[in-house]
Order: sequence, then C-alpha cells, then structure tokens
Amino acid sequence: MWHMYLPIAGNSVNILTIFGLGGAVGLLSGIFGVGGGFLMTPLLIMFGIPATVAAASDSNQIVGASTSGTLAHWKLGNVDFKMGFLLLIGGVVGGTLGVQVIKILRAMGNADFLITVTYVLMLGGVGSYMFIEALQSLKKTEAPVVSATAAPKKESTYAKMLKKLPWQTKFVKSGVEISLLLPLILGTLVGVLAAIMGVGGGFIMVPVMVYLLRMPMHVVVGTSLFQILFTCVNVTIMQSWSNHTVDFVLALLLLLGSTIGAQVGTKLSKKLKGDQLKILLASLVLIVCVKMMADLLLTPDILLSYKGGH
Amino acid sequence: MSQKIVITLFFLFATFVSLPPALRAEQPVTLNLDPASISISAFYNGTDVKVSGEAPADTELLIRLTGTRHDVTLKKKGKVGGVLWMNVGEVTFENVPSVYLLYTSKGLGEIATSENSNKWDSMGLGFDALKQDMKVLPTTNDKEVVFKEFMKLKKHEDLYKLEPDAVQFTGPTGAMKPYTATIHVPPRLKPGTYQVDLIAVKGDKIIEGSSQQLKLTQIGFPAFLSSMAFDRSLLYGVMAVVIAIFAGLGTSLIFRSKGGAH
Repeated sequence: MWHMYLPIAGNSVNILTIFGLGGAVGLLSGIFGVGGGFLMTPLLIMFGIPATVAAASDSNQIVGASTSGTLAHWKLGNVDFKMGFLLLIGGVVGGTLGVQVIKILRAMGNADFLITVTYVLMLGGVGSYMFIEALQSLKKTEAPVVSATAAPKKESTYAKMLKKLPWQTKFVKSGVEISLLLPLILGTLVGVLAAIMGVGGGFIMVPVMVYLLRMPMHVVVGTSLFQILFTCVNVTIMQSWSNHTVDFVLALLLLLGSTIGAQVGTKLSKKLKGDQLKILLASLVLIVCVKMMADLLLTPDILLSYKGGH
Repeated sequence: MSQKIVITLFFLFATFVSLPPALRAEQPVTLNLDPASISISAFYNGTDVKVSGEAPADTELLIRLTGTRHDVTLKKKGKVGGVLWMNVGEVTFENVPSVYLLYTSKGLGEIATSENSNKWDSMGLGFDALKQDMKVLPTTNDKEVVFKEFMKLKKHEDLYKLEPDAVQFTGPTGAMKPYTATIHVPPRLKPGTYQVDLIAVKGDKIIEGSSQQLKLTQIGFPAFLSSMAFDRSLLYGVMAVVIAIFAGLGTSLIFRSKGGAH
C-alpha cells in the first residue's frame, strides 16, 4: 500500500521516499531560488524512472514548488517582477537559440565532451568566486548587511560600460538603475547556456543576478523563483504535448513535499544574511561540481545507459 | 554443428509454436498461470504469478518469461583523452527480448550456474542463447564486452534474471510429477502480452515444451491517465500545470493562516 504506480514512467515508487525527496528539493528552492533539477533528476533515475520522464515530471513539480516559493517571497517583498519579466523574455529567446546551437555543436562532433567540460569548469569557477567573495564580505562587515546595493561600490569598467547603455531604468525592488537591455541580454545568454547544458538555469541565473545585475541576494532568490515558474510551465506543457513524458502521479507525489519545502525554505532564507546564503549556495554548486568530476574520472558500474536526459 | 541446428529448431518449435493439445497427448506437460492476466491499478507494485502443472517424472524444468523482441539502442561510455569517462557513441542490440526471466528446478539450476555450463549452452537455453541470437551494431564493438554490460543493465532493472532451484516438485511421483514455481513480475514490466514457456529437459536434451500467455493491462486511474497523456496530450499538459499551480497556492494559504499568529 506504500507504493504507487506511475503510468507514464512505467514503474512503481515508494510514496514516502518521493514525498521526502520533494520536500528536500523544495527546501533548496525556497532557500536559494534554484529549481533543484540538478539534484532531482539523477535521484529519480536512481529510483528507476526513465531519464526523459524524470526530467519532464520534475519540471511539472517545480511549477508547484516555485508557485509556493514565489508567493512566500512576494509577501516578503523579494520579487522584482519587472526584472523577472525582462530576464524571462531573454530566457525564451536564448532557449530557442540554444537548441539551434546544440544542433550545430552535435554536427561538429565531440559536443558532449565540450559541453561537459565547460559545465564543470563553469560550476567550479562560479562556485569558487561566489564562496570567496561572500566569505570576504562577511568578514569585513561584522555589522548586519544592510543591502548589497546600499554600500557604494568601486566604479569598475563594467559599471562605467553599463551606464553608457541606452534606456536606463530604475528597478525599485532590486534597488538598481540599469539599462533595460542588460537583463534582456543576460537572460538570453543564460537561456542559451541552460539549453546547451540541458539544465534549468537557476544555477547560472542566480550568480548572474547577484554579480552582473548587482541585485541583493534575497531579491535574487524571489525573482529567480518567479522566473523558474514560467520556464517550467512552458517546459511541462511542451513535454506533455510533443513527447508524452510528464508523469502526473510522480509530479503530484513530489509536489506534496516540495510546496511545503519551499515555504519552510523561504522562512529559513529570511533568517540568513545575504552573504551566508551565497556561501551556502556556493558550497552546493561546488559539491555538484565535485560530483560531476568524480563521475567523469571514476569508472562507471555499467558502461551502457538509456538515451534521453542529460 | 548440424546437431546444434536441429536442437535449436526443435527448441524454437517447442517453445514458440503452441502445440494443439491433441498432439501433446503422449507426454502431456501442463502449464497453468495464476493469474494469467494482471491488472495494473493505482497502487500496483509488481505481483507474483503462481505457475503449476505436471511434467514427466524423469525431467528437469525451466520456466521462462519473455517479452516481445525488438532493437534497443543505448549510449556507450568510454574514455576520452585517456582520463574522462563520457558518452562516446551508441550501440544497437538487435532482436532482444524486453524481459527474460528464468526459473529452473534444482538439477537444471546446478548445470546452469556451474563453472562448466556447456550442457546448458548447447541446449540453447539461458543468457548465452540470447547472445548467439542477437546482433550488435556497429560491428566494430567487441560483442563479448558490450553484451556483458547489457546484461548488467538488464539485471540491474530486474528484467533479466536467472533463479536456480525456483521450480519445486511437489506431491507423489508416478509417471508424472506435479511442480510449482512463483514468477516475481517486476513493477517495471510494461503493459502488454508476454509468453511463459515451460521446457522439460532430460539429460542434455529438451524433450517437451508448453506455452501460455501472460497479459498485463492498466486499469482504473493509471489507464485513465495514460490515455489522457497520449490521446489528449495538450489538455493533459495544461491540466498538470494548473493543478501544480493550485497546489502551490493552496500550500501558501495554509502557511499564511498558520503564520498569521506572529
């Protein structure tokens, strides 16, 4: 009685295991503003779900978790809708472009090698940078961090360049004044990368918002979730429609856990300082990076695998 | 060589062609499945099928569950640059059954699992017979190596398995002896029709066979959801999203009313 049959995945799972898994990943969503697909998809595959079904059902589940998380963050004033929409538009354009880029890469051969190595290097680079930066800033400011933007930053070449872009606009929630073009361009870049790597992009988007858009960490988490919600709605409908890979029973079991996890995560997130959040997220990114490197270096148990997935 | 072909032909004849009962009158092995059809409902988690019947007293038995044969294409991992394990291409296995579960009586199991299983192989039984039947493409692959990996993958999924000593003989033995066995149908077995074969072996010869069909069908909620997902896929996707959003909204409301006290 503790098992449920998943009609699309064609296997059965333990209800409590999947509920717990949803809860844990939902917690991460609420705290860090990431979808958690990097964690969920491999675990579901481990429980005997085909890779394509695991990824598609996970995006269905993220719709619920990010709705729950976005609402919780919105109540705390942590969602910058204007910024979110611009990034989203960029993301859709980038995703479409990325799919074409993959085709070109695949035609050139050796695409998998390039993609995997780039991904690992990027995770390592972003994770290390974020970790060190947040650690230093945490040491410097013994007093509670007011806001990342309130502290006057050094005028870097990057900042000077940004000021020269047209359509400078004020983003009230994020407390920044930048060109409308910037979130559009960065959204597109992240979209291209996410499509090529075959991941949701929360991992890349969060550091981009923090370091390139200079948004405060708490607003980054809320806005990222808002954006993930729309991306996953799109992915779920597309996957159901063209590939029939969404298992709703699986998504529902995950949802029950993840919507609760996202609420609890948001509460935890509120208690942590921006820099503490950054350090924790950086650690998570570095762990994933090490795990991927281990997968690359250690001899796999089975040298064959099913197609689909990452 | 010709002897091997004759044996193989006989084996194919005995197992894949269902003999009309009248022809089997002299040595009637019997094969019953309980249940012969399995319903996959919402809480299905695989099931057991009881196999029973009678076979000549001087035989050892093999019960085999097989699925339809088809081609499978898998990703192959290999070393790139001498250090990194990555997907380096695809391997196609032609003509492989989706499932291959073997249950033997004790005597036959000893032969199958012994170091020297030539007798078992020469009868065209077991996994080695599969290897002979299947074609691996591209042919540049070392068949031995990739077949070994293929077996690992299938065994990991519980879809290929050999259980020696799983067929028990019960009751008094006259000219015929009754037997029983339990097939553990894994939850991963897709809806469809499968074949269960009973093969009676005497010495190193297959002397008789009988076959029955095992049907797996989705019913109730799983059947409803499957038909939605495939026949009305757009509506299914939209509904999945809407329900997920409402679940998120609902949880938010519950948490707000709880947190309202602060």
